[in-house]
Amino acid sequence: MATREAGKKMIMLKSPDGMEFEVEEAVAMESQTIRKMIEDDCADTAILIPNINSKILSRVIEYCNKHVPTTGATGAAASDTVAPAALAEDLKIWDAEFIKVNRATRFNLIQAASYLNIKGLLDLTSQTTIDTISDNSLEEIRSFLSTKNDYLPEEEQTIRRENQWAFQ
Amino acid sequence: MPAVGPAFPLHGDDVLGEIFLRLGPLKPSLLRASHVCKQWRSVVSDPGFLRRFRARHRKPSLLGVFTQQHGKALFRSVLDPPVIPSERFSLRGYGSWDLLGCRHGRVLVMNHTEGKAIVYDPVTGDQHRIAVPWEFRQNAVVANINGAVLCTGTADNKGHIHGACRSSPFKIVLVRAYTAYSAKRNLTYRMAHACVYSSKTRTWGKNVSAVLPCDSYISGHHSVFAGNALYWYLPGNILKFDMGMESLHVIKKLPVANDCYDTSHIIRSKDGGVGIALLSYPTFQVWDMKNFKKKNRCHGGTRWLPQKSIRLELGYGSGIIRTKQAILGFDEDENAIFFRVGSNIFIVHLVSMKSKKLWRSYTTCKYHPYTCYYTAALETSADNASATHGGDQKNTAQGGSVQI
Repeated sequence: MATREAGKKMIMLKSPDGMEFEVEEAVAMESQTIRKMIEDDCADTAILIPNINSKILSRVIEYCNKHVPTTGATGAAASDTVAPAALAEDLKIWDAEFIKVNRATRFNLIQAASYLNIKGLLDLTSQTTIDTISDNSLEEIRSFLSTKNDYLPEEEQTIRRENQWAFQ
Repeated sequence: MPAVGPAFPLHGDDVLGEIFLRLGPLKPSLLRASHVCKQWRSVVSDPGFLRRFRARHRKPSLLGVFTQQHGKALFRSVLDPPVIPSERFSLRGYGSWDLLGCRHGRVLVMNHTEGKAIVYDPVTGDQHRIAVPWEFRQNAVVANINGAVLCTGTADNKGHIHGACRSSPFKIVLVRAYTAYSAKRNLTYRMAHACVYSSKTRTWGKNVSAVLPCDSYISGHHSVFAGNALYWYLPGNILKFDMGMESLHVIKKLPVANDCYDTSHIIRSKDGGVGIALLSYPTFQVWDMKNFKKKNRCHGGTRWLPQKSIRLELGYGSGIIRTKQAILGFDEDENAIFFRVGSNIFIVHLVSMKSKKLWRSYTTCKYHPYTCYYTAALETSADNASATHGGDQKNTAQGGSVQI
């Protein structure tokens, strides 16, 4: 959880289950949705994040904390001074650890990343789902992603016939 | 915020859209996703989503090549694994016909028996069959006809991205070389003329012509589109059709010998003009054409500047004779050349000059690279209702080999 540091503006994020998270404004602004709220002056006291429970929100904040460009005394991005390749490698390892979660958590993180519009987190969390869609049969995709086939048998037959090649 | 289930919240259109945007363009994953359930289909076939998908992936993909062999316009996937089976895109020809080229997701075939130009969309199976002007209705034996198809979507919409052009208007440019006789001078000379068809007006424009050097003929190489002009190879010369001016010119004095046309090909140069690639194993050379103004003359000239000369390392000795090597085709979108050395087919990317072996082949037929977005298949249903390419006959056929 973020702690207050001198000179840094803090923002309060509230989850629907009543938990409050105090985070640096720069960290919160990793989310394009929150950035827009702040820029439009809609974020005076606290921002309620609907549909994202405290467990997921804390993970999202953890991700943003890690990925926020750290600033030095002069305000220049740290990535200007630290070797960018080393930084990227470090983030990659951290990301790989971060995403070792169960399926329900991963889906919740996708949902949160999509709502909060955090591109990097969405890229990271949706990769497994993308691989599932790319590499599996229709039945497997439906089973892995808990999606129900609502095509009528004759509809399914027609669309299958039309694009048979896409399923081989 | 869409309603979501507690455990598996991937049911909102926005979330699904974000995930589908990230599907790679090299596999028909988007098409596959559309068959999972009705909601997924509605998300991926939404025009707004398709626009975002194409904007994200920027360039359509090189899916494979068409060749004219075994009585078919035969498709072969260059993807590994070959995602699209050959029979899905291949066309079976009848009578006398020629495969003239592919561009912007369409394939152009000239059927001499019917006297029709056929524009085929392999992804959707749609065909436009357009009767050609009488000058182009000739027996294939005497006809020396070539042609090109291209999308004109950019004229109406600056943000148009080629590769999903099926609902955009297109143009066909046909060119032919023939021998004309002047009774007055009692001599024969070679001429070329060109004619443009616009799907928007459903009409052919006027013929434009140019005098060709003696004994010229238009080679079987496909056209190259660069700047706003189409270029065809006449051995030793180049025939240029300017799309803006609708005029025909001959560019002479190529840096390669007349009899090297099998081992050379017109290419698109870095600055958007044209160049020539020449294979002389183990060397691969690239020239760029530069225009310059001549003093005291209203017409300028052209100069060929050598750009690159690299040594291909393909594991052969340098004693490969010329008949055992050939340039088969040029991919304008990827800036890559397909070539054959011995019985192996390679692709070389002209920017990186990296080459890769594709497969073995013993035929000498030309390659017509085919580049497209898979998303075109998802636009079928929406477009069928609003298709406006009348005048010509339109057929839609799906699945397996299509007849032309």
